[in-house]
Amino acid sequence: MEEVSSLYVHVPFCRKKCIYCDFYSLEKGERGDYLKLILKELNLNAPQFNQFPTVYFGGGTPSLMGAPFFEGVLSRIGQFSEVSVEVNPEDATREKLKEYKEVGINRISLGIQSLNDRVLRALKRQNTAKENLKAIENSLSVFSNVSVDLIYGAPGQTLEELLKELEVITSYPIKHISLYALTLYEGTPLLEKVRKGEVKLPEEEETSEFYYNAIDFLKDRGFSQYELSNFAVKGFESRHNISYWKLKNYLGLGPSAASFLERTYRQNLKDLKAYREKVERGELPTEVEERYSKKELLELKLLMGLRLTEGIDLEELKIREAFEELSKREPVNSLLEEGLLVYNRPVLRIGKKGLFTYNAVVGTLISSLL
Amino acid sequence: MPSQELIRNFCIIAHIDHGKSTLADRLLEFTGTVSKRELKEQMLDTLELERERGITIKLNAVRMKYKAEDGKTYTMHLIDTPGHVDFTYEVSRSLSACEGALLVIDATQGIEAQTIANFFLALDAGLEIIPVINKIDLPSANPEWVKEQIEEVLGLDPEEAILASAKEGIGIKEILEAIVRKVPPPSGDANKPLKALIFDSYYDNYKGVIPFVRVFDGKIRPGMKIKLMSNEKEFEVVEVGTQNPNMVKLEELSAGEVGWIAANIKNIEDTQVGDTITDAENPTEEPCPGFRPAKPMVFAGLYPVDSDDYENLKEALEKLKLNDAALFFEPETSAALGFGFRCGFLGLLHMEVIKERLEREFGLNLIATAPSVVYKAYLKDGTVKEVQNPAQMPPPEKIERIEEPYITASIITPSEYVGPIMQLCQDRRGIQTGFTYIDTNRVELRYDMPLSEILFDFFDKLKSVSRGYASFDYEFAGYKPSELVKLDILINGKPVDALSVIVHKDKAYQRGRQLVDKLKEIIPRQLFEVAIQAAIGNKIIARSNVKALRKDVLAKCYGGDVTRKKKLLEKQKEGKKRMKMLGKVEVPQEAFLAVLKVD
Repeated sequence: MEEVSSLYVHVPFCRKKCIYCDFYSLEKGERGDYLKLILKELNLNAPQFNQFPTVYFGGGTPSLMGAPFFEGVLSRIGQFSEVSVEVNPEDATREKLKEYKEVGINRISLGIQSLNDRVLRALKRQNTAKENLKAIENSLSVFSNVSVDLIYGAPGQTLEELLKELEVITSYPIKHISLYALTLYEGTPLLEKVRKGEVKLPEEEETSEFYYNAIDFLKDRGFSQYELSNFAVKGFESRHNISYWKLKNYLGLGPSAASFLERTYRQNLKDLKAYREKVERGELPTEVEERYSKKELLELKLLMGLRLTEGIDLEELKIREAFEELSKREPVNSLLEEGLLVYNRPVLRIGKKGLFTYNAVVGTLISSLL
Repeated sequence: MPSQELIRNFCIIAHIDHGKSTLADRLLEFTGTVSKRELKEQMLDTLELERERGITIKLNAVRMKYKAEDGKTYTMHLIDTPGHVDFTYEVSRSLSACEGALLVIDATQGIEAQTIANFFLALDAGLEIIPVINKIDLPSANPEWVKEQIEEVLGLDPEEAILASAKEGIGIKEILEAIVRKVPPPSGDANKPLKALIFDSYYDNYKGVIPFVRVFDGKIRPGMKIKLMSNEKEFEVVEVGTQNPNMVKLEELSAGEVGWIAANIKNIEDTQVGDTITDAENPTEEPCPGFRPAKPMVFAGLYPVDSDDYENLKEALEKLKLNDAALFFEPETSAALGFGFRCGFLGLLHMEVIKERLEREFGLNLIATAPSVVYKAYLKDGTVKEVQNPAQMPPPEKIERIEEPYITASIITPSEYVGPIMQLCQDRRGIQTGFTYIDTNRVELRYDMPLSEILFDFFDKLKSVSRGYASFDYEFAGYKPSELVKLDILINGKPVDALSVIVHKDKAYQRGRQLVDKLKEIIPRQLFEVAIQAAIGNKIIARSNVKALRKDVLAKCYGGDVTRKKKLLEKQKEGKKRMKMLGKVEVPQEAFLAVLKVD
């Protein structure tokens, strides 16, 4: 069996849910026994999984948890080199961050989302721009590997405002930036507001302009884009996330967490209560389990892998000839001609022009190829 | 063999829904031809689709025995007629097989367009016409009002009209007695050479093509060599018989009788409606008058959505063709749609019925191109080209003139809708040729109009402007020159053959604009800008762009959750199945019918 390269731990608790977020999280969840549950679930997957080169605590709001939680998980696994925790600005005090560092955490992903108060209000975030700056400073005083999450395309945001935010952020020795277009998901309050016409998001032409301007700006500042939404100073790419995109094996713990082991995809029960009952009974809290066919696996490898700007080696996937044959005809021929896809035998990658229409480009490719 | 004196051949003619089929059922029941229990509702309509739509397409002929008040037993042949304008010629042939006709008029609706059209057909065929005022049991029935119309519009004696309710069985005996008394018996000569008129045929899996005939002179019996006079083809008769309503074998069919013939005929095109069958060894001198080969008036391309279905479509068309001499098809290739068939139909209804049967009975998923009439292009080199497919219209510089088929249309409407109907007809290039009051409240409008103008939602429009009260009938009125141009649609600079249409010069700009706008609505945004243009020759007359997709991305990636991405991909793949690639542009199937839907 191929080794498992990464461990994801979901922390499904928030002080207050964000209006645009559709990840599973509770505002009033019982978290006293959460460590116990996670360890028990890890045990259910043992003994084959106990070494993870990368560990990622995501949420929810993992920074609601004290250092003992992380220590408890990390002490049970050996050989980790990248350990990330998502931290909310209000939790980013020096004291807390120092404790985190002491238990083995070495990378902070700071969810500031914006440095513009109007945008923060529009997103109904709890923090001000000033507090966010403070959080960045605190993080950098403790950790050298700090990433920030930024959202663009919020209601009323202008390009100048976005570039200004990037200007400020890149004036700090930040190593990694995740830049996300505000996206409407089913079941979120923001989508409801947009449907009711209470809130209007920028037009897609405008959002596209934000995106491409941000790419150019960040490149100037020494951040190279290694994935659709991720930018890093060389050497500081998120190894954990790269292993998802390369469809390596990963284990996910906690409600709603997903695992991918060999060809089998598994997703845990979303509801904390149901999850707890299962784990306490000593059963895997699986909600969905699917074993992918070779074809589906190939589809996923393309779908995920092309998000990385380095592209995919088609020879490795054994589809080089099929692709080259297909590339002479429509619609793939035009994708290449227009620079939406770039082919450098044997590596296929998404072209810069195709990044922001990724779904359509890769969807067209896959529908034609497979 | 009944003596001719005791034979009566008649048909029932009526406007749609005036109760023709119910009356036929009642006659069969009253004469004991079928018992009530056997009588499936509307016995004579055999196709499921026809029953659903309340129309009859295939003809049938049933033999009934009736013991009249004079004490004699009569052999009556009821010859059914199709009830739609597409089949006017077929109707006229059925009428020619009779000596009399029951003209059924709804007591609540009065005379409608098809009542008049059928009346004149029957008059032309020299039939004795017996008016029947049906549905007199309904509370809104107004027989006196209908009688006035019978006198004024048709010029018949209203006192001769029989009051009836087929539904309630009222007046049925009176109708049968009137047939005995008024409809003349056949007057052919059984000793003359055989002369029989084909008024219908169908395909039987065991016996081959079975023509239905009316024998005028002579006799026909098994073993006899017969000849079809239009194509000189000869066959040996295997069986003859009648329908009562089951297929019953007889020793012979003699002058005056109606029945069927089995003669190992393989191809339905050999037994065309209106053709005359005679004795191959001793032929009659003159065929029955009025024969005209079945000629499709409306053409459309039918293409399988899934190109793998081409063979299945071919087989399905062949099967339908077995029973439908009027259906024409030949292979056609479209740059846009691939391999398919150019199909010819008698009219719009015929086309719709065929398309629906292909989809329903054969499970095919089809793209139909917009229907077109047959244009005659007179070229400068002196030749004439018949154009069934607009894409094949020669370039304008080669054309001397173009002629298109015209119809004479009759529309009967309550007078308050005359204004909007006249407007509609005028918009459709109609020229008014008549305006007659049928009664104090209703008007018959007559128009000369290009056939092509009624192909595009004319019926729906007529219904909506008259709130469903106007009735419509038309007949073919020959070819006339028109100022026509071919309008091409270009997608990203390339003409799409399946979207070309032929339109009147004065309407080209408007139609071009409408088509381009409609296509802009239908074609989804894609990775490239899509330019849609309408052109006449090299001249672009309208254009529009479908802007390129600018954002289609799942930005936030919790990489571990692949379900959302997978779902999206599945949805995309599903969507692509309904698309046709035109170059690099994906075009949804419904685009090819866009031309039908523009206002």
